Formats: sequence, C-alpha cells, structure tokens
Amino acid sequence: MTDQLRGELVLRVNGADRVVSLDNRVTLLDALREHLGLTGTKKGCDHGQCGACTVLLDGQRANSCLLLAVAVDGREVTTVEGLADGDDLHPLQRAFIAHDGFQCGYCTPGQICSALGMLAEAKEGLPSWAGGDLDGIAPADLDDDEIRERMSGNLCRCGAYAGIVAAVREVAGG
Amino acid sequence: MRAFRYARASDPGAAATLVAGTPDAAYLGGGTNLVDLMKLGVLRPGLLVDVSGLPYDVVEHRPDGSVLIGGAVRNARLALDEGIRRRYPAVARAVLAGASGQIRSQATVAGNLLQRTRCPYFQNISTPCNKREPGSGCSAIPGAHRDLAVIGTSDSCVASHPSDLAVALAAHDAVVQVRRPDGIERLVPIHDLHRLPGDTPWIETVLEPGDLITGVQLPAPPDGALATYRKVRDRWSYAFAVVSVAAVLRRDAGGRLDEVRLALGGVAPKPWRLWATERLLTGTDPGDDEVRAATRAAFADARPLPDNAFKIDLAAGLVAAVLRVPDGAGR
Amino acid sequence: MTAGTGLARLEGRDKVTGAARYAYEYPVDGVLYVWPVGATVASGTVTDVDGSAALADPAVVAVLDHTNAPRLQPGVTADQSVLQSPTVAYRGQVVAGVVATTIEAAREGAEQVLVRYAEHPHKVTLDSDDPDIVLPEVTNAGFPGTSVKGDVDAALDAADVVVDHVYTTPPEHNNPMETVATIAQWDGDRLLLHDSNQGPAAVATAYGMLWGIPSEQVEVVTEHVGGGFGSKVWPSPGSVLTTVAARVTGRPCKLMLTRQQMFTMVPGRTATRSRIRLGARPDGMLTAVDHDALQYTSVIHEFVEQTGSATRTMYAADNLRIRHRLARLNLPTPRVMRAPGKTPGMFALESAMDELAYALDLDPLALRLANEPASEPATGQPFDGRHLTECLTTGAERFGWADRDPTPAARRHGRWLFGTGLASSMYPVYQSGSTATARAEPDGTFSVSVAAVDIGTGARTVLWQLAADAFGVPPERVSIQIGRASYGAAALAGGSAGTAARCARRARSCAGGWPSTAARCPPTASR
Repeated sequence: MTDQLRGELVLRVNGADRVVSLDNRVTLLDALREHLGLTGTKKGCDHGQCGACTVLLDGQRANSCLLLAVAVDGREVTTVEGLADGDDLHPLQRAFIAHDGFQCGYCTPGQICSALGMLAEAKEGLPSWAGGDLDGIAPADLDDDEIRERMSGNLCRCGAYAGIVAAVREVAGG
Repeated sequence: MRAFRYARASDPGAAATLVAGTPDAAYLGGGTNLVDLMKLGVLRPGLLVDVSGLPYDVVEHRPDGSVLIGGAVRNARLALDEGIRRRYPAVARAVLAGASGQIRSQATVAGNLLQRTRCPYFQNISTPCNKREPGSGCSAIPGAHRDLAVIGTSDSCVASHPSDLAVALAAHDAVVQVRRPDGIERLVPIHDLHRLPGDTPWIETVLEPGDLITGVQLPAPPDGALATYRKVRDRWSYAFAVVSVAAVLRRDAGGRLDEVRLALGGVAPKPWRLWATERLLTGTDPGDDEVRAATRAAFADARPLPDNAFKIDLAAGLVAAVLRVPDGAGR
Repeated sequence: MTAGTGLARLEGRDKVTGAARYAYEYPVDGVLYVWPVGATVASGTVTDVDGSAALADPAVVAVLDHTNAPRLQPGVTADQSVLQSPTVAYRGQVVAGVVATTIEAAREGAEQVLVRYAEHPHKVTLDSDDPDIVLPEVTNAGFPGTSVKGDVDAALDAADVVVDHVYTTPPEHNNPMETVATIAQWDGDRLLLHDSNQGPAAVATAYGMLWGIPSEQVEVVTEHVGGGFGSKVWPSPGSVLTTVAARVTGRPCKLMLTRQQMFTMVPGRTATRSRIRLGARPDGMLTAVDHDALQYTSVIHEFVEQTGSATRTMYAADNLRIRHRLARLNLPTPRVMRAPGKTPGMFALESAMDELAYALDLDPLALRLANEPASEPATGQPFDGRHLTECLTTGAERFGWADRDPTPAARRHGRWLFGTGLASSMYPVYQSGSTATARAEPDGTFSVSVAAVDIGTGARTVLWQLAADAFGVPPERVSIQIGRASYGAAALAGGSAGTAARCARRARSCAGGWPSTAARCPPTASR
C-alpha cells in the first residue's frame, strides 16, 4: 500500500525487465509507447474497442489501453516487437506479408498479437459464439467464421480482413 | 483522469476495510469497464484497490451439483470450464456472446455484474445525466434512447444493464456471495442485486461501501433441462444486445413445459426475469402465438419510449424462437 | 517489368514488426503533450476560460485560449483559425488547449479547464424547408452549383412516366485507425512537422498560409500514415493547435486526437438529401433528369459536397438540371470523405434508375444501355473513351443476368431478403502537377524521391516498381523516398505515380556514366 500517486514498477517486456517510475494513471499502452520506446503497439481508440493496442499478458491477449501499468507490475508482456527471432520473422508475421493482410499497417501489430492469443485460446479448447456447440475446436480446424468471430475485437478500417483471415488460417493450419 | 493511489490487495479483509474507510475508493478487477470510465472522466476514484489477485479465481463444482464461481474468475476462463459448458451452457454462451476476445480474457465475473450502463449520456460528462450527476436531468428520454430500457425505468433514468452473463445467471437463480467489511458473508439473490432507478438512479446495487463480490453460486440445474442464450444485436459480433434471452427449459413426457425460466437482457436496468410469462407457460405446450402473448403479458407495466418500443415485439419473437428451437445456434 | 506482378509491399516488414514509425511515434526530447478542449455548446460566444484548476498541476505548462494565442492568417478552411476569436460555431470546436509534460496531466488538465459561454440558438438539423438555404455557385472540385439544360419542369410535366424519389445519406466519418497526429517543432521561423496526412506538400502550403511564412520553411515528414479516407487531406484544428502550442511554449509539442474528437474536430461527409426526378418515354428513353441535392456546411466555411456531379455525366437527356442547395448549420465544416460527391450522388441516381426500370417494366440493364450518352450530357464535351456499356454487358453475361428473377426481394433466406438490381459507379481520375527527383548513383543504383504519401494504398511500392521499370533495372537497384514536403510539390495520395516514372526516364538519359546526376522535373501533368 502506498500513499503515492506514482511508483516504481518492473515490467517484463519481450523477455527483458524494464524498470520505470510511472504515474499510476499511465496505461500499459502509454507505458510502452511513451516511456519504453516501444511504439509498435498502437493507440486506435484508447477505450478497448478497436484492438489496435492488443498485447499478450502472460500469454493471454488483452487491450493494453485498459490495463494500468501499475496493475501489471511483475507480469510478462509480449508486444509485436518481441515476436521475431532476430532477423527471422514469426510465421504469423511472414503470413501477413505473404497474404498482404494489411494496407496502412496501423491495426497490424494488434491483429498479430490478437491472433497469437486467439490461437492459444483455441489450443486450450475455448469455444466461440460462432460454433453451433460449445466444444473446443483445434486451431487447424478453425473455419473462416470461427476466425472472424474470435478476431472480432480487432478492427481494420482499410478492410484488409480477407488477407488477415488468410494469414491466420495459414498459421492456424500449422 | 484524476491522479489516484493504488494498492494491490493480498488480504480481503484489509482491502475491504480500506475501501469502506475511503469515500472515493474503488475496487479494481480486470479494469475493462472501470479504466474506460475513468478515462472518460465519469468515475474519479482517488484510490484503486486491486482485488484481481485475491483467491477468488476458481470455478468450484460441488458434490451437490451446484457450482461456485469465484468473483475474480476471468470471463474466458469461465467459458472454458468444462463443467460450465456441459451443465450451464446458457452461462457459457452468454460469456461468449459478450464483448471481444481481449475483453473476455481480462474481465472478471464480479466486474461483469457491476459494469455500468453504456448510455451515451452517462458516458459523456458534458451531457445531463441523473445517474452521474443527481438532479441534472435525463438526456436520453428526449434524446437517443433506442438502445435503452423499456421496463423498470423511471422518469429519472432509462438506462439498461449491458451484461450478457448476468442475464444467464438470472435464468439460473444465481446467488451472489458478498463479503462485508466486517468479514460477514452476505448472500444476495441475483434478482435483488441490482436496484431499479426510481428517484435515485445513482444507486445501482444493494452493495454497501467495502462490500466485495467474492463469488456467484449457481444451484444445480433441473435434471434434463435445456439451457441456452440467444442475442439479437446490430452486428454479428462485438455489440451489446438489442434484446437477448437466457432460457432454462424442460418438458415432461407429454411435451408440456414443467420448467421454464426466461430472463431478458437489453430491456431493463437489470436482467429481467419474465415471471409472469413463466407462470402462464408452465404446464403448457404453447404454440408461437401463445408464447408471444405470454411474453407481452410480462411487459404490461412497460414504459417504452418512441424509439425503443420495438423491443417488446422483438422480445416476444425472440422468446418464441427460443421455445421453438431451444438447441438452435445462438445467432 | 515488375508493374502488375505481385511484389510484397516495401514497408511490409516494418509494419508487421512494429518498426514502422507513424507521426506521433518519433522520439523528440523535451516534447510536451497537447490536449484540445472542445466547445460544449453548438453556437455562442466564449465568455471566460478559467485554466486555474488545470494550472494548479505543475505538470501543466500552459492553457491556451483565444485571449493568449498568437494571431494566425487565414488558412484553407475557417476551422483552421484555431483560438482566433471567442465565437463558437459548433459543438466540439477547439476553444482551449492544455499543454503539459505528460499525457495524463494534459488530459486531466483539459477536464479541469472551465469554459463559460453565452449560448445562442443553434440549428443542427438538415431541413428541406430551411429558409436560410442558399444556392452556392461552385462545389468542391469546381463543378457549377447549378447546371441547367433545356426545361426540366416542362419535360417532366409532359413525360409519359415519372419517378420522383428522395434518397438520404447520413453524415459519414472517415475514422482511419490512426487518428490525427502531429509533432510540431519551431526553429526560429522554420516549422518541422511529423504529421499524419494525405499530402505533405499541401500541408506545408496550408501552414505557410496560417503562419504567414513561405511554405519552403515548413518541412513535413510523413513516412507512414495509418489511413486517411479524406480526414487528413488538410490540417485539422487539433494539428493547428499543436503548432500554436509549440510557438507559445518554445518547445516541441505533440498531439494525437482521441477517437471521440475524430467525430467533432475532423468531421467527414455532410448528410445529403437528393430528390431525383426522372421523366421517360415508354421505350425507356429519358426525357428529363432532375437532381436536387441538399446538404450542409458549417456557419463559418462554405464546403459544398459535389453530390450531383456524377449526374452530369451518366445518362443522356435533353433536359437536365442539377442543383446543389446548401444549409448552414452549427456543425463542423464537412470535408472530403471517400469518393466525395460520387458516393451519395450515385446512390441516389442509380436507385432512381432502377425504380424507373420497374415503373416502365423494363430491364434495368436495357434502360442504362438505351440512355448511353454520346457526349457528356451536362456540357456536350466528348468522351476520351467510355466503356460503361461494355462493362455492363460483360458483367451481365458473367453474372447470368438474363436468368435472374427480376422481382424485387424475391427470396428470403434467414434474416436476408434477396433480389437483383443494377448500379453503376463512376470516379474521377484527376491529374495535377507533381515533382519528383531521380538520381543515378555512382554505384549503378538509382534513388527517387517524391512528396507522395502512402496511406495504405501501396503508393510507395508502386512508385518503386514504376521507377525500376522506367530505368530498366531490377527493383533492388532502386530506392524510393516518399513523404517529405521538401521533395517538391506533389499531388495528394496516389496522384503522382506516372510522374516519377517519367522523371526517372529522363534521369537515366542524363546519367550516362559517372559521376551521379540528379534530374529535377518541373511540374507537369502526369498520366
């Protein structure tokens, strides 16, 4: 418990411990963009409605604009900058390029992180509203309706949805 | 957003004492509604007590067939639970019908029940709203109210409750477990948790300062009952209900309904059980027209507004559809 | 030849790794955050701006309002005259600005600023009977506000069949994923902007106007843009405010509009209300086409959506009238929004044509074919080429048009009603002067710079391909730079593709051998 309006935090971002002193009001999104120089995660609406700010928090997808940095002190954060292995792109990043799953690119980091989180959920057996039943579906068996439903928290104003779904489908297929 | 102090609770008693003793304190769960409203300037707590790490994050299936869902259980985790999917499919479907994948992954069960209305005037600090600023007036009644409530409202407020999960819990007669600051546990039937606006629309629940929702108990569902959740909304996904229904249904050997529980979302300031409809339909094998009439009967005291009166017809059709095909796909 | 082949976007890797920097994301030492305060009344006068509560936070550096902001010259639109007067013309108009050392302090400061107004009556509803409706002389993109050929009223009176319908479209907001974003830095009278826009050269010109400085003193860097759709064609009030804040504080300032502010500070298309009257003979030949388009603009600036513009071109008729009527409402000045004029106008005209086909009991396709004009109906100008009928007949073949059930809403499938109809669309291809610079480097590579911008269209990649083809070299030997005003005057997003190619051709012919040669092309019409 603190009487302070700010505090020192340790954010584990992309495998590295980052120590920051932040006002309690700072969201994880703004901590990444304004304080840690990680501008890959984007601000589209700042209210959890567009998904451009999606990151992985302990492997689960989340809107970083609705997370207070102070509340994720000590947790593992994965952003789009942490997906490639040096020069080797993550398969999902390669698939987005191959299927031209973007135009302006502003929703892209959020789409990719959300897709990763989504595929992990599917692997765990989480069903979706698109299914007729409540059985889980293996990632490789996700059809387009399932992908779209599970990705419905990510908007793309350029309308690159067809390429996004193709990219996700390719990677889901393993 | 006002600058605030933050405390991560490790002990429920200390947390409750802190919140009860600090007038502008608030509990923080997943933050998916609270942080949103703080950015809008609607809520301005001076202290956030983070309860997301308290040990209320388990779904406990009990020997007597009931289930206790911890208040800190994340929505996605609830829908993943096999026992919930198998025995309370309306609850699982309601969770999956709500919000987006990102929000479901972080939002807590307790927070879901306590989320605030999405009335645009409540959310905009420059427009009069009796709920947000007592006595300032209701902008929705003469304004944009198409998505708001048709029943249970008052001249002060027509806000609707946005939760899907709460509607399914209401159909199952859930009981909310509340821990009082003095440590005593209070059990509040879900039907009694939310208050109607009346003259005091800013008082939304029966909770007192410091009360913490630690869990939700669901009694064992009736043997052989079917349960489902259907949602009508303007988009295929990621949109609040225009009207939704959670139904728990069972028919006897002769095809007559011997269990019929119906709760509606999108029509009221709280999940709306159709008690009158249930009384009319129990023991019958009703056709569509009878179901529609029985549904309308529950709206006898409705106070529809010009742009949302259609919700009553929509509800009648939706309940009829669910009774016709209770296993049907939720769309 | 690489043009037309499926090359990946040049900046693809940067976009999927988060390495691509958008305007707001450039690190600038000592930058301050700007948060605009929007008016909460639709019409009135600001009587007081009390920033004392905001300034109580030491993180808040300044509260700007019309009493302390520097004077600006007129810009491209009156909305750009930020903090120049106490008059409030629309709800959401910038009436103050908070400048702070953190985003959180700026946002809270904006909430703490207390603005008082003398409120005046306001008008915000588009009403066909509004007594203050005017007939503007010219529309956006330079069309006449009113065009008359023949006698439409007499022709309609005499026509065998008349359809008369009103079609409305709501206001439409551009809402790119990246909201308006600007970083402004002054160095004496030189202004450096990292800015999200659809044409850095046009932005430089606009700021030159506003600040009364030569546009060459305004550098605009626009490497990556998260969409525009018309919202970023010219500077928005929030961006202008950012340059004001930087001027007043003497420090770099940055702003990113909230999503909510995108609806009030960067409005999109006006609502439209088109009354279409068509008169025809029983054989389908149009005798009269009457398009009355009602829309609005703000009370401070005349922007006229060219809603009737497509009707000038589409179908032959001896009697043709197109009229734009303009209401002045207490709403933000509309701006261009995807396919200005053509979108709402074609919707109305094509719907009416289908209605006419049903009224005549004619095939909607046959109706279009019967009214194919030999020259532009409104002006008599000849067409360079017009292939609409080919498109229609080829499409009809491929879609199996002849086998359709012509009954409207003939089938129901779940919640959908199915039928078949027909609509055409037209879109202008504007040509304007552009500048590109091409250099042949000593190592045998080429570099091209153009002040074009890629808002997601792929312009960067297309320009690169065209340059490589023009030079006759593999694309790996060409580098392309875009997105700076200093690269020269250029058309707005997408308009300069051909110019680069022609400049490149010329540069190659100049290159000959070593040392490197730069060729700068004068402004010229592009293909």
